[in-house]
Amino acid sequence: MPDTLKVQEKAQPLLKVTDLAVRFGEVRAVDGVSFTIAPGETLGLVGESGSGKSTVGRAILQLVRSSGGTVELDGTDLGALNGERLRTMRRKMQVVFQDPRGSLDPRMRISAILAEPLVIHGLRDKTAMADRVRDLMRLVGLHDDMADRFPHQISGGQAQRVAIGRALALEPALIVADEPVSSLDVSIQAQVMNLLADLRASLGLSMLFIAHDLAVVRHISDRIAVMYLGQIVELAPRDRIYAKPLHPYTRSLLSAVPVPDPARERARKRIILEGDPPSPDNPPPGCPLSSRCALRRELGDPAECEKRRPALTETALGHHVACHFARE
Amino acid sequence: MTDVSTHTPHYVPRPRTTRGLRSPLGILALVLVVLILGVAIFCGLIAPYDPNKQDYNAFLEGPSAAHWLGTDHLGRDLLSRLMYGSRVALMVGFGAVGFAMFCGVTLGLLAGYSRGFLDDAIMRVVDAILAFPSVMLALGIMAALGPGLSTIIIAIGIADMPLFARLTRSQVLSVRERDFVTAALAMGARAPRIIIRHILPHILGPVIALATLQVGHAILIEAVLSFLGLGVQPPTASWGAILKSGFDYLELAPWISAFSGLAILMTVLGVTLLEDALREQMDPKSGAKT
Repeated sequence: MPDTLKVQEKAQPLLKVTDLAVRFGEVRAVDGVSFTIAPGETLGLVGESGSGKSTVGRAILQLVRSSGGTVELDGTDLGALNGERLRTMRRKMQVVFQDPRGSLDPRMRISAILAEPLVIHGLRDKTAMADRVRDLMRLVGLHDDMADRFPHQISGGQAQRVAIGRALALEPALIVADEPVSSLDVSIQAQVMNLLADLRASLGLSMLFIAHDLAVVRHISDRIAVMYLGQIVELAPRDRIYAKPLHPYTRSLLSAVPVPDPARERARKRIILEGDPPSPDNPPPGCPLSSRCALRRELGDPAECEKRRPALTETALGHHVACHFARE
Repeated sequence: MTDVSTHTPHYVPRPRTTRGLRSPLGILALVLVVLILGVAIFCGLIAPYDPNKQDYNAFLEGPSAAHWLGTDHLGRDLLSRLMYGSRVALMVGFGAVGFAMFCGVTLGLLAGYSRGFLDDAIMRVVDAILAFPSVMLALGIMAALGPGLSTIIIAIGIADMPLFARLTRSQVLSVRERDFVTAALAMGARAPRIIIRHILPHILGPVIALATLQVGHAILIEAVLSFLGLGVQPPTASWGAILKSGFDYLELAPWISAFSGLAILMTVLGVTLLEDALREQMDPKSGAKT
């Protein structure tokens, strides 16, 4: 694993996000987020509601205007593109939303939904289009006879397959999956996760997989970034973050995941964060977690935490953490 | 390419409910509207008399075998006049509302989708128009342009347009935030495609409901304008003018106002029910066959 990681970090990244910031009025939804995604890599982006994880996804896709920083896809700064050039770049990055039905136009048949990206990007040939739509339906495991249905006539899992198929229609290099299984039944979640994992492997896709808990992203991610209050607090290879989480926030998140082993489950110690996350329009000075941090309490409330915002620094190969006191 | 075999449950079609145009009210609406449309188109063939021909032996006569709905104060056959009057009513009702809907929806779509400066500019103008009572505004425009059928249509259309613009804009503001619109944007769709394919179909329901109300309203404003002598000029038959002329003879010949009022009622009712049925029919979730 470490060897492949080195290779990935050295290779030209597909997506490079530098110091990204998004403000909604006074609210700093995203505040200085940087990361890269290599070709074929999946980055899991985890955080609780309001941490800014979805906004990061939308800012990368240029669906919300960023107030600072850059997003580079294949070396092109997306923020600097004009309308028409951005439109062509959109072919390379596609999105899958949380609510599959909400992301499909209820007045369009499945076949029309799958054909739309092709129409938008200039495919006119009717036969080629029908062939492509049929291929896409097979690719995501949908029966041919679904083509004529409307979104309300299929199940949530099937609708999410349609949304995935639509995202793949333009053969993008990057998929932003914004909590793609959160609104599905648990039994369907696994199917859709497996589908995404299969597609990623067979098509060589890069993926930004956004989720609100660490359990979901575990199997699909190569690396995992944890967000809190608009910032990335920890970013590490998947196996490392589960084995040796460094940031107190990540530790508390992991301690909330049940273990499927009764003996270990009983021994599991939960680290409970006190209180609610602070409001992003009035974040605490210094470290965003300082008001709720268990580690800080253990250390006797050092003043450092409230004075200076910890930078995301590399403590071990590929393991970045933003905490003044985090040690293995 | 991977082939992912999955469990796909068979789709069970839901039972066809009698909704939309197949419901009893929908059928009633169709009958009424087809009847009135038929009368408007074919009144030259089916009207028993020339609507402007006077019978000097029958002033203010009650319903009889010769004159089914009686005659007016000039001895003209009321049935024939009402039949010809349907032309004016339908032309004004649908013409004015069509004009108002086209202009209002276009402006509302532009304002709601663009937001920013264009939105502000459009909505200021719309609010200014809305500040006038619609009858007053129509009166003013009629006074400026002179009487006539096309002027009525334009005058009522302009007076009604702000309602459509405001409604459309508010609908666009909510629909544009829905995921499928964002998805279209992420796919690289241009603004015209997003507006026409993904926003317009979803705002039509409320717009059609408003249009329904406004068709009746437009027919009534036309009656008011005719009442004031600015509408369709005599001797052309207009329901509003006939209704008004009946006021003067309400005790002698109540049927003049009664039957012209009934004609207005039937038309408004028919159009309202039809639009209602159509809206149900167009909603893919209703289960009615499209």
